[in-house]
Amino acid sequence: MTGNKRSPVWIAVSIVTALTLAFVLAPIIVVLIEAFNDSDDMTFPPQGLTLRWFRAFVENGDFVTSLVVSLKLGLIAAAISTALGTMAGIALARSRSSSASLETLLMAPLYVPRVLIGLSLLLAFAWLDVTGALWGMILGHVLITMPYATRTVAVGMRAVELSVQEAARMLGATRWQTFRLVTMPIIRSSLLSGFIFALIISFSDIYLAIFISGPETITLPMRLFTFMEWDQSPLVAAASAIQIALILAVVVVTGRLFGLSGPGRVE
Amino acid sequence: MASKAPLMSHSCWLTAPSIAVIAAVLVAPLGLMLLFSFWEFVPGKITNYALTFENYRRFLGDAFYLGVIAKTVQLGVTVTVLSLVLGYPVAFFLARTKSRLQPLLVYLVFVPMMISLVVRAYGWMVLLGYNGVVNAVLLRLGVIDMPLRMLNSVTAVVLGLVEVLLPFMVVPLIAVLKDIPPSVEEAARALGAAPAQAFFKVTLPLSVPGIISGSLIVFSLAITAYALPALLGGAQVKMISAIAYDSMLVSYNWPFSSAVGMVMVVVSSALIYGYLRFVPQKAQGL
Repeated sequence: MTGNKRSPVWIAVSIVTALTLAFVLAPIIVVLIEAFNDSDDMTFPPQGLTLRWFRAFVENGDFVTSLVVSLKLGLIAAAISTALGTMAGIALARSRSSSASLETLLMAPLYVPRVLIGLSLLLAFAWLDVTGALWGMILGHVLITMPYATRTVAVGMRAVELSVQEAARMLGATRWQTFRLVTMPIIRSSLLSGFIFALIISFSDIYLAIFISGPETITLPMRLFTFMEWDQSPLVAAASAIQIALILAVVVVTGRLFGLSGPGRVE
Repeated sequence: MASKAPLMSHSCWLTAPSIAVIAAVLVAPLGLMLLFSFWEFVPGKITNYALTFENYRRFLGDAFYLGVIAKTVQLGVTVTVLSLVLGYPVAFFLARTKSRLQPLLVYLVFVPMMISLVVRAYGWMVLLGYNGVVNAVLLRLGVIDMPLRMLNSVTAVVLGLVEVLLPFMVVPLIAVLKDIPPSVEEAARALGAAPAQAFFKVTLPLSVPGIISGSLIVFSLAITAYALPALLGGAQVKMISAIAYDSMLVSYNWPFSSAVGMVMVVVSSALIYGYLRFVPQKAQGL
C-alpha cells in the first residue's frame, strides 16, 4: 500500500486521485477555453477562436468599474489585515500559555460560515441605516482576510530566534527599532505571503458582496453573479478568465520572486 | 530566561486591534441577530421590539420549513459522503507518494480554493449546460439523442459543492495520514495481514480523527452554502440559507431571518466544536 510498492491497490488509488484532480480542475479549464469561443452563446466545442469577448469586457463600463472596486477593496483590506495580522501573529508566536484558545479566537472568522457573517453584517448595517458603504465592505473584508495574515506571520515568527530580538534590545534598540530593523527583514516573506493571501481571499469573495455591497460597491464576482442569471455568453467566461489569470499571475510571480508558501498548509 | 517573560507578557496587547475587529464586526452583529430573532415582526416597520418565540416556532414548526431543513441536511450528507469517498484516496496518495510531483499535485488540489465560487459555478454551467461539455460528449458517443437538462437540479448543486469543499476534506486527512508511519502497516503485513486487511484493520482506524474532522467541516459548509446553490440549483434547490436571504431581502422579515440565522449559528458551532476537537493541530485553521 505504500508509495514505493506497485500493488494493484496503489494503482487504483493513483487512478482515483488523477480522476478527482481532473474533476476539481475541470470547471476552471473549461472557463479558460470558453472565453475564446467565437459564438454568441455558450457552446462546446468552441465555434472557432476569438479575442472579441475580452474586448467586450474592456469596453463594458460595468465590468471595468467592478474590477476597479474589487482591486481597491482588496488592496485596502489586505493592507489593514496585514498590519493587524502581523501584530497578532507576533503575539501568537510569542505567547505559550493559553495560546490555543487565543489562536481559536483569532481564527474564528474562518470557522463562522461566510453566509452568517454576511447575513449578520447586513442586519447590523441595515439597522444602523448605513448599507452599501465602501467602509462597510472594507470592515467585512478585513474580518475575513485577517486570519490568513495572522497565521502566515505566526508561522514565520515561530522560526525567528527570540535571542536575536533580545540581542537588539540589549544593544539599546527600542521596541519599534527592533521590529523595524531586525524582526521585519526576517519575516518579510511571511508578511508578503499574508498580504497576497488576504488580497486573493478578498478578491474572490462573493458572500459579503451578495449581502452587503451597494450600487457603488459591486465587486467583480458580484457583477458576474447578477449578470450570469440572465446571460451566460462567453463574455462571462472572459470576465472569469481575467479573474483566474490575475490570481494565478499574482501567485506565480510572487512565488517565483519571494518563494512564498503555497495555499495548502500540508507541506 | 528571565528576560523572556517581559517580552512575552508585553506582546499580548498586540492582539488588541484584531480582537477589536472580531468583537465589532463578528460578535456584535451576531449578538444583534440573536436579539432580533426574539423580536416580533411588524410588516412595514420591521419590528416593535416586543419579545416573542414566534420566529423560532414558525421556522421549526412549519411543515414547509421542516421540509427545507430535511432537504438541506440530506444534501449535506450526500456532499459529505461523496467528498470523503473521493477525498480519502487523494489524501492517501498525497500523503504516501514518493513522486517528485507531490508538491505540484498538492498545489493543484488547493489552487481552485483561490478562485471565486462564481467563476467555478460558471465552469459547472459550461460543463453541465444544455450546449455544454458533458452533453456534447454524450451526444458524440451516441449515449443520448437529445441534450440532457442538468442545470438547476440537486445533482448540479451536489457536484459543485463536492468540487468546492473537497480540499476541506483532504487537509485533515493528509495531516492524519502523514502521522501514521508506513512502518505500522508494514508490521501488520509482516505479521501475515493481507494488504486490504492491513489497511482496514490498521490505517483506516488510525485515520478516524481525520475522517471525523473532515466530514464535520464539509457538512457544516455544505448546509450553510448559499452562492453555489443559488447559481446551480436555481428555484429548484431552496436551502436554509436561501430562506434566510429571502426573508431578509425580499419580505423584510428581519426577525424571522435572524431566527433562521441563529439556528444555523447553533448547528454550525456544534459542528465546528467537534471539528476543532478532532482535527490534527497542524491542519487547523482552514
